[in-house]
Amino acid sequence: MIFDRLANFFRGSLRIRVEGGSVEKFLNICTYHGMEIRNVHKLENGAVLQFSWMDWKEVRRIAKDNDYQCTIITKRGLPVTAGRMKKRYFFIAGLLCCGLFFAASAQFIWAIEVNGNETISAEEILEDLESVGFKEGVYKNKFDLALLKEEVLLRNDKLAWIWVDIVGNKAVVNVKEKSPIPEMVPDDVPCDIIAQKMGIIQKKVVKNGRSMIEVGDTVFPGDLLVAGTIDSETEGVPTRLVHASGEVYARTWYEKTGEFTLTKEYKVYTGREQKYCRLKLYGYEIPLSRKESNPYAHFDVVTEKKDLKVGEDHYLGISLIIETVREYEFVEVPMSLEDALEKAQNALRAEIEKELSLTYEEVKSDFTYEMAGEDTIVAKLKGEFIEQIGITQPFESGVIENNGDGEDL
Amino acid sequence: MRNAKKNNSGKLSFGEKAAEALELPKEMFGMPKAVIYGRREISIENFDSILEFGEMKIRLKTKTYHLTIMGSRLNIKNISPDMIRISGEIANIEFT
Repeated sequence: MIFDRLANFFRGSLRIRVEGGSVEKFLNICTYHGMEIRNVHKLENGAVLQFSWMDWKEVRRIAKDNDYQCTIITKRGLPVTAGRMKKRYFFIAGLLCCGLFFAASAQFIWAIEVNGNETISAEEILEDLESVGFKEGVYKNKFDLALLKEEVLLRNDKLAWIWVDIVGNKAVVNVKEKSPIPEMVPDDVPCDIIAQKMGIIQKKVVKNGRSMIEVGDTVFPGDLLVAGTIDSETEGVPTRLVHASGEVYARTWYEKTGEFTLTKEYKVYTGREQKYCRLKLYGYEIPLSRKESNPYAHFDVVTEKKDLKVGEDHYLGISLIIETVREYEFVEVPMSLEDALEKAQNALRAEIEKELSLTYEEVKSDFTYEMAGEDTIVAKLKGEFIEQIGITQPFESGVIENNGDGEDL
Repeated sequence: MRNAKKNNSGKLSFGEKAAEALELPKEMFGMPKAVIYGRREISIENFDSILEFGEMKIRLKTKTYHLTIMGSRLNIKNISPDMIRISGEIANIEFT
């Protein structure tokens, strides 16, 4: 049924009233001439019927030859609409211009979206892209995306991987940042291992170099743990320089104190807000409302962007940006002692963890507190850990570097 | 009309005989085929012409007989050289 209607729309249809004789005869003549007639309803002295736009001339001829009177009731379909449009030159021209404009605008990039960045800002990546010529408003087939990716990777050494997809008029840039490389002395550079914090040695594993400590020794920051210089007992044989390696574990202690209130601060929105709209047209922004600078003492800015799209992905380069400035205020709410202690302990533990080395084991911890007024506590967290305290330190400049096989000092 | 008379007397027409012998669809030999969709619509293939058209009664001529459809609010939904679709409240179908 839907296909019939669709076909009728494209072919165009006429609904007429036929009067003046036998309807049966009229229908028989029409079908004899190969016509298809639809929705025939009998009237007192005739009938109402519908047929294709193309058959109108033939129907009119049949009616004239057989003394029938035909009156057009309605005309429908594409040929009828097209016929009406024929003389509306400006409308057709406007329609064509509009179509051409959208077809032309579809050839450009109107938005760039950056995904996957954590420490590098999207602006930095966009700047790198712009430095190679890739920005909003560029012709999208101008770039070889593989080359573009390589050029951006060369410019930004913090990026490990970049991928640019062009979806409609939008470029979606997916990036993967490089993991930070720990500061290490290269294996072929002679070095010592020194203590980075105070502690009592619990365990040592020396793989290369000369051990300078014993289990149970107390060491202080900067003390030499494993030396990279190996003196020969044989007279005349020079001292060897090696890249000291090994792990030294020591018992360490930390103590952190902090003052905490028995209240919690909440951010509550007052309900007052101001909205500012901007229209973004192919890379250019047009303000639609005047923006006041800092209308409230405390406020958040929420930016919402509504893109004009055809379908799911085809961005047309036109966006409405709504910036909502929402006022808030801080409200202090009383907190139970248990909650305050848990908060204090977590905060102090986080402070200690910042100072611990990567490899550690907690031996014991002691958390104490005392009231310092009606709504304030002073909390103290003491912790005992076994952790790796050795770090490599290259020799001072002027020392001859070698590959560990031994060389004169 | 002659064929119709034969049918009334129980004799099969040549087309019907041939279709049965060859196990082919009878409409291929010009036999009328009527399909009824509930009481609201009937579609007839291989009809010749419309003899009478009214809201209560539609009479059709086929090669072998006359078909009379009676009911109320009858109208022709679609008519083409080889098929007619009639809709409305169909009460009775008669072969003469």
